[in-house]
Amino acid sequence: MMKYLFVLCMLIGGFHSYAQSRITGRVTSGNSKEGLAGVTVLEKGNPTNGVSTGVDGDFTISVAGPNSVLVFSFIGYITREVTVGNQQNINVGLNEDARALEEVVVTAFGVEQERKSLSYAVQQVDSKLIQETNQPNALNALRGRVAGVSIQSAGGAPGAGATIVIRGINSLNPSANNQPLFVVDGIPISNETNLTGGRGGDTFSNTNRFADINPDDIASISVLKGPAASALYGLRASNGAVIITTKSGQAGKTTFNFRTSASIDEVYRTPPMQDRYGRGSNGVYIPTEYRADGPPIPAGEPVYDQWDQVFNTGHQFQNNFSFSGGTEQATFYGSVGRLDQTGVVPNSEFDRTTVKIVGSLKTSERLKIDGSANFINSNGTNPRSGTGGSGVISYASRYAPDVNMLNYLNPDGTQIRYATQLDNPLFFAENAYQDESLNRIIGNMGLNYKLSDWLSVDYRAGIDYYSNQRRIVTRPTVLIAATSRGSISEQTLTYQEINSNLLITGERQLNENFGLTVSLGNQVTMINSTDVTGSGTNFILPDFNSVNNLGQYTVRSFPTERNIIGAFGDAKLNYKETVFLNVTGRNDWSSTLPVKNRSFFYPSVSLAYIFSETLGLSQNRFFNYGKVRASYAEVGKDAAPYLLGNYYSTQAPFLGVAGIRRSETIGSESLRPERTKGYEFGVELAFLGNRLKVDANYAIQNSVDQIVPIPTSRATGFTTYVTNAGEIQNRVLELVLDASLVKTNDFSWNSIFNFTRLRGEVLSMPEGVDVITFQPESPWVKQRIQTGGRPGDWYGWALSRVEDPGNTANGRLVIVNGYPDVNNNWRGAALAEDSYIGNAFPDFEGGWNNSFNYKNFSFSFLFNFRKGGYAFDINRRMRYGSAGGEAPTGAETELRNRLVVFDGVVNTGTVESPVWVENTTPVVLDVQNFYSQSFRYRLAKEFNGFQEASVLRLQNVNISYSLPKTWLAKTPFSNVTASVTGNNLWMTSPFVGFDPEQSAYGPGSNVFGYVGTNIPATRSVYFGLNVTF
Amino acid sequence: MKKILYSTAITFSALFMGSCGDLLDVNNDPSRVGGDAATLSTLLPSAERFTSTTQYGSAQYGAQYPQYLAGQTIGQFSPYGFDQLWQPFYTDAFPSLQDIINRAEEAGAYNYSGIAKTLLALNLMTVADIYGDAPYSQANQGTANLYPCYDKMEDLYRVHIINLLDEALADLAKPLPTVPSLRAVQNDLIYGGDLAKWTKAAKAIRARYFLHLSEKDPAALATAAQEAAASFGSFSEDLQLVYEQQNPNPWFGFLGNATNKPMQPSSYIVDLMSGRGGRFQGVSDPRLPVYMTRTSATQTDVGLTPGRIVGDQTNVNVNMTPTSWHTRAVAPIQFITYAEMQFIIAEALFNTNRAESHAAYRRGIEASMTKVGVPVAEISAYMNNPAVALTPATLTLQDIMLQKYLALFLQIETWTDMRRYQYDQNVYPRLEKPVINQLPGNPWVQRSNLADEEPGVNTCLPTGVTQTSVLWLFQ
Repeated sequence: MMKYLFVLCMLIGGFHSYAQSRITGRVTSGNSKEGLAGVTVLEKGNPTNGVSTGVDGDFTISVAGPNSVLVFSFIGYITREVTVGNQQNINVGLNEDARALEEVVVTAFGVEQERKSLSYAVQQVDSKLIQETNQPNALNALRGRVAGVSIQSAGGAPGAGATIVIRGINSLNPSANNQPLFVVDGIPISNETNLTGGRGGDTFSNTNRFADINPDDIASISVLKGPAASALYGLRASNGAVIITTKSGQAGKTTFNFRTSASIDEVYRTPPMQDRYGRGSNGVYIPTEYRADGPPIPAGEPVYDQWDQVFNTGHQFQNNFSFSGGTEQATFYGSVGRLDQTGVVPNSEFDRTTVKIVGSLKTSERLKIDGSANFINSNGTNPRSGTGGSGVISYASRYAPDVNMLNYLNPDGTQIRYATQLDNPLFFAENAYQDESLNRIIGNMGLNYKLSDWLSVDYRAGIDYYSNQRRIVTRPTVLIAATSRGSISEQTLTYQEINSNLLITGERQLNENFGLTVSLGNQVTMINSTDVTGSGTNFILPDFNSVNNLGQYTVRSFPTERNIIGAFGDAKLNYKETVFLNVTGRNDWSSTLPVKNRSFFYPSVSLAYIFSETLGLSQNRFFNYGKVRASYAEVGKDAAPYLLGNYYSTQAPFLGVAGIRRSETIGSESLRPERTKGYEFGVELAFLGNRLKVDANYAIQNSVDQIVPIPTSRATGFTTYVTNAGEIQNRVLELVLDASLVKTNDFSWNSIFNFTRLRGEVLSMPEGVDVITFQPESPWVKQRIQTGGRPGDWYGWALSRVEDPGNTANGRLVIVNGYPDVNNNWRGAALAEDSYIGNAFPDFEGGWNNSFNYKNFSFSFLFNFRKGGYAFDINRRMRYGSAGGEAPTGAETELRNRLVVFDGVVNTGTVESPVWVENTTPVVLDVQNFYSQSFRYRLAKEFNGFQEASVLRLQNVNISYSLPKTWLAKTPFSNVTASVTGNNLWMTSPFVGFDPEQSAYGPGSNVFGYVGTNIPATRSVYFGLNVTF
Repeated sequence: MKKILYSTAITFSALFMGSCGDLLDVNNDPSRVGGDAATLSTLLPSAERFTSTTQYGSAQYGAQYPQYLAGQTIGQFSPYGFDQLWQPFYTDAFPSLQDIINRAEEAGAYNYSGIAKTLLALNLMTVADIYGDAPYSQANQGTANLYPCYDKMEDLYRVHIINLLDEALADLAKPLPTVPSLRAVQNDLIYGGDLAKWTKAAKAIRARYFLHLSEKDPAALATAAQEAAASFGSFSEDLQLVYEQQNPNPWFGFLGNATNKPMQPSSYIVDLMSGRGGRFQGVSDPRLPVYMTRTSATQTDVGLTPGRIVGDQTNVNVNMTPTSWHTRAVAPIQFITYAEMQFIIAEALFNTNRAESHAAYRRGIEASMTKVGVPVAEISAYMNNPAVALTPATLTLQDIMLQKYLALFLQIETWTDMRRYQYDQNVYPRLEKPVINQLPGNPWVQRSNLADEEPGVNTCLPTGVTQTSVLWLFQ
């Protein structure tokens, strides 16, 4: 560390000033009288002599003499040179540079940079786009808007989490956390999801913690996609970083803003169900049989749609009040937000209250202090759902159509259960659920001190603390309580993260051509979490939902601590504002790695060249801007706490005696940091005076030396061995087109299109491990990770087809004993051997947003799309198992219990030399064979719910109208806007079932493609009003 | 300026240097302990529970093969099977027991090592009987051997199981350790530290072992009878773990208290106990209402035909309930019992000492009935019924094996018995194959598949394993 300080001292010692005559003045914007703050004033030929203008545009500089030339430059303005001459007071007006890409984006450590100087991919989304979606979870608002970024919601349950993956899965570990780092106003915050049962199960649609942030407080979100962009943030940003800037006070008149909206939420896509056959077995009516394998329901008898019965209409009410104001010295911003939401299934609701206060104070020209405090309280309840058969959706999907789901209570309050295998979904929702509450405080304080005109110190410290109380209730009256006789778990999760960031930045124009910015920084991160769970079984009183009501209970506590110290340097050199070179290095010390390996360094270097400057194209009417960029970067990554070696843990007491056992996981004592290495090449082009902008990017990212829990043979005595192994490569092509198609005084049309094509590839696996299989839905489908494959590769069985191009039967189904054969079993292929059937990730995906403004009207719509990729509908096999499901065409219900002859061919020869003849064997499509989930051909991918999950979706439509300013002139209001917003208004997909873009495994999980068991996403229509005064 | 820089540098380095070491040395999990904190008396209760779990798990997954229960598809792609047993045995029971053995031998606490070897031998024999070849000599070595090869079933039987049993007896006979805290075995959930009972249990397991081995070495039959006679004196000494209300017996949750019961008593056992079976015709077994509960007003008990799915057969009217003896919350998981010993004697001496064979047969029935609480009068009536009582001359192997079948209800050992006789209808009259069996050709199931967890993580696997290949012991 002292090394860095030494470098810093050298740097400072290297500059001297030797000024002689003193000039004062003011810089204004164009012809207006408004002063321009932050304008760089340099003495030409003497790059070490420079100042920045103050708040009012004032400056003072000493120059060599009358021949000195002052250079005034500022982002977005045309640079001006003024010869000093005899003047002692120089007032300069700078003209805006219409040609420049004025955009300023927020990069690592909150540093705002001109987009043109960036040498890596960053994409920024502004508050308007976030707020107009009305999504209570701001992450969902980013969906379809950022190239290279994939966002999936966990469903439509109130408070449901969402998951974000930047540039693909980069871990071999199915349960690894692949989430990027979330940074709010320069301080990292938690986006943990704390899934019930750990990653790999999402029973209660738990939220991702970034969703606590009130979307109305967000000013912009910028996504740092690759290691080059996020290298400075260090190991926690190895999956990229999401940088959130929140609103702060604006100097001037104090304004108040009130925004309110109310929504109507409905499930928009449900699987088809058959309504022809009622309860029974083999065509015989049995009222206590859950399967719909009875006789046809007689005409005139009531028939019920399971989805109509289980789903109702949900609502969201969002109210936000904020105020902002201040003077040149001090500003403030405050907000109060409230969300109330009821879900589409019973016993499902969520509310959130947020309070935020932000202030800043300029005590002198040198010192600026700011701080903010954000308090969040949320409360939610959701019934049990999830991938198992015991969930609201799972039970509903197995209900027979001749049973009225709404009639489920006896007069004494007990459940009417028509079959012993099923709970009534509505009763279940009321009796198996989780309720939770959260209190969270995010606070930070920063100060910025200008040591000199060119050197400043920025220090920022922040805390993120939350306490999340969760109570999972399973009353003894539901089937899953058979063993427990009722269970309750009361869990308190706390999380505390303290960050301290120090950044010293020196910025000099070295000479006419070269400008240099050097930053040195230190970051200390301390993360403590606790998890205390009191849980038990055996209800004493039937209706008392407390752990105090349990016959037996245990308390478990799992605290963790993880500390990271980082030191970093960042040097940016630019040549004539045309070529930008950026070199960074960071060293991290992590508490979670072995002492000998806990210090690790990683560098990045990136280069951008605005070739249009060299070519003098800036005035070209067709092609006015062109930049190429390239970068190489590495980011290290540490382990989770307590992975090293082996531990013993205590067991729950039995017969009054508690034993201990060796843990099933063993960690390598020589664990090394994991590394992500990335190359990135990009080009930015602007045409027609910036009316059309193109940003294309190609990145190759390798995650090597991964810290993965390798599943081991149980016979080793362990289930899991944690070590460094394996390599995954992701190659991603990102494209953003931004077109200002129409731009007149009254009407504008802006269109942004983004496109991502991502290919993951497993380059190597841990030694001796051929394959890591994720198979909760075995034997139907499995996901396998193996060398040469991609993450998300599906394996399973296909129906056998004739593979003989020369034969007329080529491609036709192989029929054995009247039924289709699977997995080439006819020629002796073992059923245990699966074959590749598809991948869970799309071939490409993207979004297309269009905004129209006409006078006081604005209208926007966002389409997103994904092409290719397969999903497995877990729900489908449940529907089929109970004979309630329906094929897309309805043909299966039509054919039920009839004799059919499958359209295929039969082998009358040998396996070696088959002779194919037309199949003529009729078989009965009885429920026992045809629908039974374990029946062989039901297991084939063509029948088991495995389907292509391409989607074209109208994600968001927004129409708003602002009252004309003239109408408001005599009112206290400065702006009144009414809006109507729709989310998920329309979609088309070949996938039959619920929306295929809702992972059943929840946020933070690496498992994608399993769908159909969560509470489904909703189509929401919002009516909103926004008033400013 | 210099002052500011100086103080910045001080703050900067203080912040970093001062806290550095303290901040980083925090990687010891406060919620768990290291291996040095583990003790014999805290490992033992875990190991006993884990063993109970393997015995339960074996019986749960294997209950349909000896046709105690029926109701689920028997198929090669059924997602459930014996593979669910791999982890309870290899990651739970085996390492815990081996851990006790290592620590006890080092500390000279042979009382603990004797118990652990007894239980390890039982576990290993259970695994061998289900899987045939299985990892042992290369197992439980952690990262030192990530790919443990499988020992041949023959080696497991001829070398490892018997070594463990020999050592167990030897250890249990050694002087007690000198360390006072180790002299009495603490936290023994099964026998409360009574080494005499553990010695009898070790002998009981030896009796079972030699009975199995007699398939290969007929001379072992006599040894089996001797060991059985030297084992338990009554059913009160059975090797079993009794559960408690707060921690109910796993059968209770799986079947007893479950509303949705995936299995029901099969027609084979219900017919046999109702006097409609291959033997004991016309005699109602007083254990029937103890073992299972009639759920309809019909006076005739009807079980589910093996191969049928629960719910397919509407006239089935018996079920496992919270009051059924084996599926009560506080029922024991029986590892090995006095009744089994008597039937071992009866079988082993059937051809050599018919009188003792007959006596043991009667003791076995009586013990079985008394244990489950059948009233004395009903026991006498049953025992005196000519179809059961028989004489040494009229006693057949069928009677012994069927009474053993009834006494060992829901224990996996019965499956081994059936495979020893290769499901012979001369021994198990009227035993029929499941009516629906998705295994091609409807064969008798001979063994478990390879554990599902193994392919892909272990590079040293046996090949050609199918559920229909006959294990070495039964060839």
